[in-house]
Amino acid sequence: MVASIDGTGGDRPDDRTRIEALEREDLVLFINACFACTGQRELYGGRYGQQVSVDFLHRYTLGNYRRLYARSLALGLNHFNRAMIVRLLLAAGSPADGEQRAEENALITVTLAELPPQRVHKLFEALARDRVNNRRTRAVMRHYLTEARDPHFDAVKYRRRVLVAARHAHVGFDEETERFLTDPEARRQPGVFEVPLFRAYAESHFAKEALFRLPFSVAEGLAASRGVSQEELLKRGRDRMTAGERLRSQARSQRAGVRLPADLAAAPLTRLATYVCSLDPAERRRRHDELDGALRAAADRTFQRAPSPLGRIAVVADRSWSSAGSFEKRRRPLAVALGCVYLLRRAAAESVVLWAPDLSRPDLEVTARGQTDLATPLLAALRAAPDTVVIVSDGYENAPTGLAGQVAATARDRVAGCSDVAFVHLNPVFDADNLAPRQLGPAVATVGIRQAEDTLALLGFARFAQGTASLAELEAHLAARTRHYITP
Amino acid sequence: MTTPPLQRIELTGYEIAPPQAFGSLMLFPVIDPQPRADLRLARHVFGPDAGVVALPDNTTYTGYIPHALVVDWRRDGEVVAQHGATMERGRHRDPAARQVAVIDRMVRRTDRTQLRLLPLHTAFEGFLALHFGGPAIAWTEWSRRTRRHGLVERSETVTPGRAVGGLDEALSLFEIHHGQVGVLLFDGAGLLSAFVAAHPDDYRALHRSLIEDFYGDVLLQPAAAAVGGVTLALDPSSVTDLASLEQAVASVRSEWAAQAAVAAAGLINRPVTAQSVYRLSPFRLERFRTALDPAAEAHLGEAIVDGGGRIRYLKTYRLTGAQVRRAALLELLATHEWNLDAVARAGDDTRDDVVRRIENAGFGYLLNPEVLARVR
Repeated sequence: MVASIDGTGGDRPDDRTRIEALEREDLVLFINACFACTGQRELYGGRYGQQVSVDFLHRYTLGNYRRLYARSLALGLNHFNRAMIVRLLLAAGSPADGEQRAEENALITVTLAELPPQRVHKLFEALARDRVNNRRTRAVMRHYLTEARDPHFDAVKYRRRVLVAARHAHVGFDEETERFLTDPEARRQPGVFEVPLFRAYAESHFAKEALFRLPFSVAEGLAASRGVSQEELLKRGRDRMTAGERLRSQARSQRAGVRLPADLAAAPLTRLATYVCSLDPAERRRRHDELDGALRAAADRTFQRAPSPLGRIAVVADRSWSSAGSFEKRRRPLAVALGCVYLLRRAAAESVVLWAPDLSRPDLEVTARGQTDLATPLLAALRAAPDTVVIVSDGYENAPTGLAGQVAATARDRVAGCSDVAFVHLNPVFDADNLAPRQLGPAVATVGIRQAEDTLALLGFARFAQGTASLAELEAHLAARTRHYITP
Repeated sequence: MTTPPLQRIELTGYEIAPPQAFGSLMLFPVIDPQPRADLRLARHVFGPDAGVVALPDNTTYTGYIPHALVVDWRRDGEVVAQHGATMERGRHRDPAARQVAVIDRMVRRTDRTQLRLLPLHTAFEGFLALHFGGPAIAWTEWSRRTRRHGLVERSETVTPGRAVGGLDEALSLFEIHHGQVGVLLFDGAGLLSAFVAAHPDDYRALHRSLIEDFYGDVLLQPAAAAVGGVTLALDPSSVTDLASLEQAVASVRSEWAAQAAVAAAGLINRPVTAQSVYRLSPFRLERFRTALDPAAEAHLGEAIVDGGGRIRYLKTYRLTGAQVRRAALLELLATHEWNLDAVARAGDDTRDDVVRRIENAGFGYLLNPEVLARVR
């Protein structure tokens, strides 16, 4: 972290390289944190610590490297951090340089279109709360609320937040939308509205039928007061569910005795892995073919989106007790590991997968149990003579501490045939105290990971984390990704 | 057949795995490579009240006793199901019985092959009752009450697990090994407690109950040095290929047990004075303590030992420095038949110094007020 670099001291070549190295480290630290951290509680760290830590990193990077900070939006960071970058950029006002301003605006527009709507509405609410009300912020909000999305749908589904944002940015809607947002009495009078969704909402106060013309999450909230049972809600509302709603209602529908076939074939890889990890091992065994097929298909779809074939890969996946995650991120590290395993199997020409502790059952029956001994599976992985060893672990190695890193370093330095092996550690857990995902030692490049889908892109980023690439290369990488990202 | 009681605490047949460190606490997992199921432990929870234990010799033991352990065993190495998994008569599971705050005896047989014991309290009671009878010769320095009734009452302060900084967190973050049956718990000052259950499943069930136990000396050392994660370095010089790397890793692993033994030298392999409390043939329940040397660590605890002399259940408590000094003083008085002059001569001390020591140890109430007034 550059704390006190003297701006005038950069003339000598020594200082120049030192400053470059520090800048590169700063950026890598920031980007790495943004791949993993979501400000949620982790098993080993509280929620507050996580938020303070990542907030500091954002403000520091924005203050020192604004252009690169904006460009990191193009790297595929997780939603939480992308929303935070947009928030801080908008709060900081437009840059004076015209070209930079145009690039930033394009990055923000594309990012908002990619983020899920609930995240964007939450971001707008935060901007309103922070009283960020510059011209660019108002324009961004207006564009998103009136043009980028269906204003009627958002007014029903995200009513409170839309109202906050509209008031803050002086966004004008058509007369009916404004009435719907601001007049609680009118919202109960079906005769007032022409727009079908608004009418359905008003009618739903009196007629159960109207409930099922509303977005599912809205219907869900109103169901109890209309006397609609869980069973009826799920049965009649299932056609209006989003894929995510469908997946999260699985257990509930089973309890209510409603058949709700989850669209496993369309679910994204990590979501699917989370779902699989939530099932009882016995049920996973029973539905092995179905779940295995779905995971394979999801991995294949992810791979096809950005096909980058890999050679001989050995995966060491941590399934120790700590991969059970926290209350807020239940079984997240385990699900990420499972997703990575499937994706790497698909992408690699040859692959070997080793769980720590050893798993004598099929991959998808994995459970979080036992100690973290990474050294033993790492040795077994090296026996397979791979090009790359990918370790998916939270980095809290305890049987014993620090041995895996030593094994990797010793193998690379002293064992013939292992000198070219690349060791990459994908870490789904952000360690707030160190401002970075926990590392396994200097021989292993550690990169944060939030979604298994990012695995292949992160393997490309690993050389920056390792420190083998220069600042110029990192900047070129960012510039290229940015160009690709904002070109329609 | 009488087997001699434990001579020393040995963890033969167990493996000690690398430790997990959390702040100022460090936990070494104890693993049983060949667990047997002929002795099982389970937890029996009492109500939130303080417990009063009625002892057979008409004394009572009062303390906060949140839970008891239920021990099931079989004679011939047969398998016992985990407690609660078998159909059983409702006697000891009677809900009304849990409301009763008076507990009958420390160790009590509840069925033909079932025993209820109060963990640690069984051992601690033996410690408190040390030389409880008082002087046999009526030396006039001792108060009349002491001469008639002995120590009358004796209390020690212990620290509940919840007050041990970081213990709750450490227990919840600790990753239980496959086959783990016990744990050696260290703080900055050394071994805090050792716990070994009879079976891995029992350990898993009882792991969180360690927070309900009591510990010594921890509140008094809030600034105890943080135990860093002990790391052993791999020696790269001998490595030329994968096989030699594997060997180097194996040799690092085998060093953990030695590390733990060094760290736990205050208890493991130290001579102990043991006393048999209960026979549950072929097992026997014993309570023990190490020598009361104020300069060294002192532990007390209870153990269940099988016919072969192997420890199958172990729970220990580290005495605080003050507790050791007090107990050592009582022992010293007892060996010299409570004669102050004899004690002074033996310790090359003045008689007044001995009186001061007695008062400082909190036993001033045993002496006559005039004796105390003279030294003040």
